[in-house]
Amino acid sequence: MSSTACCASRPGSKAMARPLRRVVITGIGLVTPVGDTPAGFFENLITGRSGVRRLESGFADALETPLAATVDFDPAPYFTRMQLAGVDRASQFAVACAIKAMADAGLDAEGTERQRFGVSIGTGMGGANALESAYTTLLKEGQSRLPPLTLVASIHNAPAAQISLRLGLRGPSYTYSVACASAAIAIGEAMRSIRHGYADMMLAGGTDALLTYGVFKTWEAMRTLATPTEDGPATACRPFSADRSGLVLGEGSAMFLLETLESARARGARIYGELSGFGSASDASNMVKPDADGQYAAMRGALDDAGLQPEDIGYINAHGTATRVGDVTETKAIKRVFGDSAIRLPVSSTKALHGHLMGATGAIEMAAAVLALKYRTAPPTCHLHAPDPECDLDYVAEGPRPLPMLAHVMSNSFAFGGSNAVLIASRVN
Amino acid sequence: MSTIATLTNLLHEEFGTDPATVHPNQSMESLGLDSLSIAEFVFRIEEVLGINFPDSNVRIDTLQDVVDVVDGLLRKQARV
Repeated sequence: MSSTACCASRPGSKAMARPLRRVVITGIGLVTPVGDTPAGFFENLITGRSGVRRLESGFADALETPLAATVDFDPAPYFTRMQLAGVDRASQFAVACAIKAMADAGLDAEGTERQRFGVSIGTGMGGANALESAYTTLLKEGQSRLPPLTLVASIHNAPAAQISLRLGLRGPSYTYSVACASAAIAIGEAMRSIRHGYADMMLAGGTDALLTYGVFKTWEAMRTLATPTEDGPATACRPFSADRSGLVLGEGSAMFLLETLESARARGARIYGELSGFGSASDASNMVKPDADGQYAAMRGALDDAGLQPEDIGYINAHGTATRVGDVTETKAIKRVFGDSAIRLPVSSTKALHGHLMGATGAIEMAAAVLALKYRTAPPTCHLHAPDPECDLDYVAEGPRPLPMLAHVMSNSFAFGGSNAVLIASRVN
Repeated sequence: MSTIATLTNLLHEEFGTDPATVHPNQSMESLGLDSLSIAEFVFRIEEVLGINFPDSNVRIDTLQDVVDVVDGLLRKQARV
């Protein structure tokens, strides 16, 4: 694969030894609470089919609100029983998504330049199931020995490594753990790797399977989890709504196949869109309370990176966790970036349906944004009937919105710790 | 139960291996096990039989190799 051509000059960028290359998305792989194919996933977002349900785990009765957006995942198509030894659920999701993204892109790993093909994964807590199981064995059951593969199952880079070794990818292997911004940063940095010539192809995304007793209790202690409405679990997550009560934890994974525009065109690949902008900035103010300044800086950074003006953006997939402070702060930050035009900009939070996938959430929401671009339709914010008066944007509450002219979409990911990451995808004509 | 029967059962429980296809002289590789899944398999054997495989390099190519190690350990255990 050639690494020449496609030079995009960016104002303010320093002279580079290598020309910057344009990076496009040609494959999407999904394991989510609301679908496991791009078309099925987007159909469920459009029709408002919620993946939030009552948790069926053995510890559910010990939780204040046993709600989660769970994945009904069968590893059998992707792993033999032997291959599953030492592979945590989060890594299983990731490998499945990587294989799906390759197939969706029409690629066979053996036919690619694998020395130049890397992996970039975001995960909040990696192999949390293996670790929790280990602690249970040691501290609760009083055993003194652990299964030999506990360590390799639980390390944060296990999902990226499992993908590399399954597909024989010998390029860079990156793992980003930045709480709820993990996947967005993994995708943004993967884009930069290709843009600057350090790799020609990347599988980039996020994975998390954190529906464990210990993780639930940490969130419960933070008082951030939603309580169900009278209608039942499905509508428990209500972003921007006056009666929202918090977030719902989810699990799953999403992966993108990223390559240069040049290579996608050379092989006649279907292009979902160009990964045109990535911005990252920190609040530097509070571990928990988000700050509009940091979010503003990340959105502005992404716009500058893409060489776009605010009015070019036609849809935002919001971080929109349905917490009191989170939704109001994001609304303020969007208004600051988009000014008078903010009120006309469709903004929705699909977390109402797929929950908060933590380290993977930036990937699944970028998938929602990219598919909005493909289908020229903004998915709605479900379960929003009466917005919080302080949340006064166009949240697409009434149902899916056809946007025939949609050319650029933005996806926001804002993490505990005040780490913010924003991605932009653009239509390629 | 014979050691080979015990191991065949464990292979079935752990990895879903069909007992009808298991023969003592076949390689672990042909059973579908690599070094990592062998490590998990050995751990299960130790748990179930209450034995400890020696840390020294025990060569395990075939299922019969595992049977020999297990039988040796069980004999040693019976003597003490």
